[in-house]
Amino acid sequence: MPRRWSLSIGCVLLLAALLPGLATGSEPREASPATPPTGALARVRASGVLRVAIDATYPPMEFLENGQPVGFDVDLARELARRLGVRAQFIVMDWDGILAGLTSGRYDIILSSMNITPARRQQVDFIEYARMSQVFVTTRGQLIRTEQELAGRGVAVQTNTTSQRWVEQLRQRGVAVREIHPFPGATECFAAVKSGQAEVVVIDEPVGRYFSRLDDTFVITGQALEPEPIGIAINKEDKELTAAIARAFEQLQREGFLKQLSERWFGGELGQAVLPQGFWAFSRQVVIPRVLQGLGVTLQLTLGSGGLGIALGLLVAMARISRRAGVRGVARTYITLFRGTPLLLQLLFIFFALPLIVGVRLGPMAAGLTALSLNAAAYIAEIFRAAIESIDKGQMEAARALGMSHELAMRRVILPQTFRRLIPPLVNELAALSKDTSLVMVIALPEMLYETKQLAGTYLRPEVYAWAAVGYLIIVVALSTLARRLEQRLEARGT
Amino acid sequence: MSGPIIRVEGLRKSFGEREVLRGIDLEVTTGEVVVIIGPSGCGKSTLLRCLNYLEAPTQGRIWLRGELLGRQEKAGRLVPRPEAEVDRQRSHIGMVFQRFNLFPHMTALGNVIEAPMRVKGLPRARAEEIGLGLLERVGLLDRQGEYPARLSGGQQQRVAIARALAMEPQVMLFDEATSALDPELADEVLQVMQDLAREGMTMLVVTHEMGFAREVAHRVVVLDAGAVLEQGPPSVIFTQPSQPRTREFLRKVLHMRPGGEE
Ligand SMILES: Nc1ncnc2c1ncn2[C@@H]1O[C@H](COP(=O)(O)OP(=O)(O)OP(=O)(O)O)[C@@H](O)[C@H]1O
Ligand SMILES: [Mg+2]
Repeated sequence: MPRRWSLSIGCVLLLAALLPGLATGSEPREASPATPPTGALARVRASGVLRVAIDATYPPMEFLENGQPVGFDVDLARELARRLGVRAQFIVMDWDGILAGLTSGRYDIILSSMNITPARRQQVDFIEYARMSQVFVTTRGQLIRTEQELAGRGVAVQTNTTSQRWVEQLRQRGVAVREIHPFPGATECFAAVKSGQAEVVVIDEPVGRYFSRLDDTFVITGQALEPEPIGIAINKEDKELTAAIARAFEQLQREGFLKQLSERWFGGELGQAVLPQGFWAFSRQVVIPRVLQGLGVTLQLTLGSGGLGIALGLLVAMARISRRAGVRGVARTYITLFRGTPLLLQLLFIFFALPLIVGVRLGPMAAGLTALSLNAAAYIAEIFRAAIESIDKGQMEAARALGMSHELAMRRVILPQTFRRLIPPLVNELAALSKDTSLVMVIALPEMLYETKQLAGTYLRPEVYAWAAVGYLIIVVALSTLARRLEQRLEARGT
Repeated sequence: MSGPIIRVEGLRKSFGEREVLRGIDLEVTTGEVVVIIGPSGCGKSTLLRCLNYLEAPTQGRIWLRGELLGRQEKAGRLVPRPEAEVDRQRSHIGMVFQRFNLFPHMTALGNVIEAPMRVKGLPRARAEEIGLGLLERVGLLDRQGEYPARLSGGQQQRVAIARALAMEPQVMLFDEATSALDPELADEVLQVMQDLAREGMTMLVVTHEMGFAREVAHRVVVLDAGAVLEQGPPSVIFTQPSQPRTREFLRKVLHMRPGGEE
């Protein structure tokens, strides 16, 4: 039993004293000669109800939500009942009396994360349906992977549970745990870690998972103890019911129902909550998904500011070669300003100073896009200008001599000829831009490098930066491949 | 020939301090072929470029069919015309350049139909009809789909002539249209120009091809240092020029043929 282990031992002893059948120590198998031939299964079928006892204080396994029982065990019980052709009726019990209630026939089964122990086996039969281990849950940035690493730490545990017993034994074995903080409930344990009272919670895996999903400041970094089986408890004399439920359970397992249920309540299968230690496994399960998320943001920034930068850059280039001196001056000032100051400064200015100066408050994404686009436009304008000026003057003259306006000649004659020579410098610029996007981490926009940095810091594994490098390389290589294709296409066209 | 199609009065053009055209008066009548000759740097190209307002004159006036180019009278004063109107005026004057200046990203036909479609707004079908007719006229109907890079110099220049003609200009300006070409290729271009002259096109031709001048020109204008040195029918200019500088110039160019100067 994962929770209140010690307490339940007391409870079992008490029961043993109270129930004559058990107290005499009679062999459980033969403890039911007086069972009416009808049997539990027939009774369940006849009534259409499977009575299931739960101690609904144990999220995410079984707990009350708006007064209704919910949780992994509750869903499992409902489905099992459905397979028996009946519906589940939940009886909310206090943990201390839950076994006695079963043996006295108040309900048909207990499905409440009950640990299968030798003592309990004496009283009831179990169908094992999961294995639970204890996990170490810490806040991001801390790393407690092994029992040795608990040395010198303050550890929060739930009172009277396997975890508490385990940590106490650990101390006896010589691991210098600084302090053990026993709390009555899981919530208090996590609150203690969050507030810094303790540094790590040792707790049942489902609970650890549940809380680390609720609040992402918590991460599961390690695992203690061999996983222990938990089971559905059924009275020993109800053999047909046990067999029927065992069959139904096997079916659910085969159909993947349990896997889905784990996914739903724990965000994955039990026993896999702990961070993998090997580089590849850790990369696959933890790093790559996050880096990919960041890559999405980086791509968004690169393509967004690249597109905007090209559009704006073209406008600035046109202004830069305008025949009106005033317009030329504005363009020149713009270019000088944005090429003459660091991008980081522009970014910080737009994000932090604009709200104060002009009252424009941009979110991180908008600010990032704005700064990157404005900056890129200055460089791209010069790329456009150089490309336009590299086109033979005779082209513009021939177009004007035909009566084309300056604007029409630009659009139909000059700009199309610049395309091919624009591609290499524009790709360079976009590649540089894709790398410059990493600067937006200073305004907490979760792009690729930001994500990687978080991971490296959280898990103290700087080697994960390799994946950010791979990400940037992918972008740059993809860009240049695209550019080469495009160039070949234009070349084929003879431009 | 009837009435002046172009009238130039006191045309001056300076680039900064440097005065390149120093007061030119010129009249060209409809259907007339005027060949302009003169030493390098004397301002021939600049004159042609002023005539279609690619270059705005510093002083003087130019009329096309009686309409003042590039400027207009407003409340008794001359003010610049709106740009769009200058574009329209320019579209009535065709120009052919020494270095062809075909649009390299368009096919031969594409080059020819571009301005009729985009400037005149002709539908593509109509523009192509006109364009194909012109390409046939310059002997390049079968090369209509080629890009300029795959045409010889002579073919490119003939496409350029067709391109200029496609705007149905009232006057054609040729600025050393053949001097970038080998003699054989030059001849096919000169042939096209000669045909054009015979059909009655008004032409101003800057050239070093004295043979063409002698045979085709109605009048030869000798330009020197930005001014008209002398002018007259080719028979007079080539045999008994009144100016010693003309004689000197003619001796040089005639001596240098073939190949001409660049
Ligand atoms: N845009 C300009 N800016 C400054 N000077 C110019 C410009 N265009 C022409 N010139 C000068 O004006 C003079 C006349 O040039 P232009 O091209 O009209 O001579 P040209 O008679 O056509 O000579 P060529 O036979 O070599 O073509 C030259 O000295 C030239 O350097
Ligand atoms: Mg010239």
